[in-house]
Amino acid sequence: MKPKTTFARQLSGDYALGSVTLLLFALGATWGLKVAPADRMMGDVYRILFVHVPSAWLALVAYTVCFIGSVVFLWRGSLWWDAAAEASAEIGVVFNALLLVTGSIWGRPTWGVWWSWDPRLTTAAIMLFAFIGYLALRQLVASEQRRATWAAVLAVLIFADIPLVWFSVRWWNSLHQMQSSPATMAASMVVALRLNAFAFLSLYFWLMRHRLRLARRTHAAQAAMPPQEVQTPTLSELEQ
Amino acid sequence: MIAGGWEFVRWAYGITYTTLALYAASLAWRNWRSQKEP
Repeated sequence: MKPKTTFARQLSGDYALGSVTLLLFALGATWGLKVAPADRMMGDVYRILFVHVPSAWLALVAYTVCFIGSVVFLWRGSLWWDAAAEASAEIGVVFNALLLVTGSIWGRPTWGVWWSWDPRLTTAAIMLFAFIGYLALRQLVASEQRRATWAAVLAVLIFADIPLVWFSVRWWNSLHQMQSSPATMAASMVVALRLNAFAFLSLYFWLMRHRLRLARRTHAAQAAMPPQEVQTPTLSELEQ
Repeated sequence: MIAGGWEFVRWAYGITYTTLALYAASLAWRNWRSQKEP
């Protein structure tokens, strides 16, 4: 029997993790939409929380991984950690955008507005735009080492917003409710939330495998390219 | 109890699942293409 190549091993790992993720999503959707009962106050609208809350958790997890990758890069200088930070930031932006959109859809029937400049919503929006800025910065700097250093410094700075997002509902008078505890929810609601949280976490790992591989390959291709010569215009060319 | 909540639920789940599926497919595609390139 021929030994498996790295590519074949990666592919079978992707299929295994992908299958587990799909199964968890199917179970999460079934529990969230069918098994869990309607809420006494909010009716069926509360079911949005089964995708909204895991989006929030995974956005925070992804940004924390980006922060850790950035700190380790600054400390050790390993470009693997820079690639991990880049990959996790992009995935975090996707979950962060979903967090705001699903929160807005939930806010309309419960609060009566699509958006409010509430501390929790505002800090979550700042978090999204800050990490979009981080990804934009990565596109602007050509030198690999310089890009990695600048991006890591920026990631460390903007990570300061993450504790603000988490504690905003405790520190300020917020329209957004505080974090619930399993003690205040029906058992089937807790199961639905946990199944969806594990589905999102499993998807995060699947996305990270792919995005990290892509980042490593892109960085290697850029490093192999000859340095571009910068054409400085002459004074007469500028005057024309 | 809020009436007519299912319409909002459908939108939220639809947008979430569609976005995640499209992002996952785009990553798989970009990976496959970068694997093909020399």
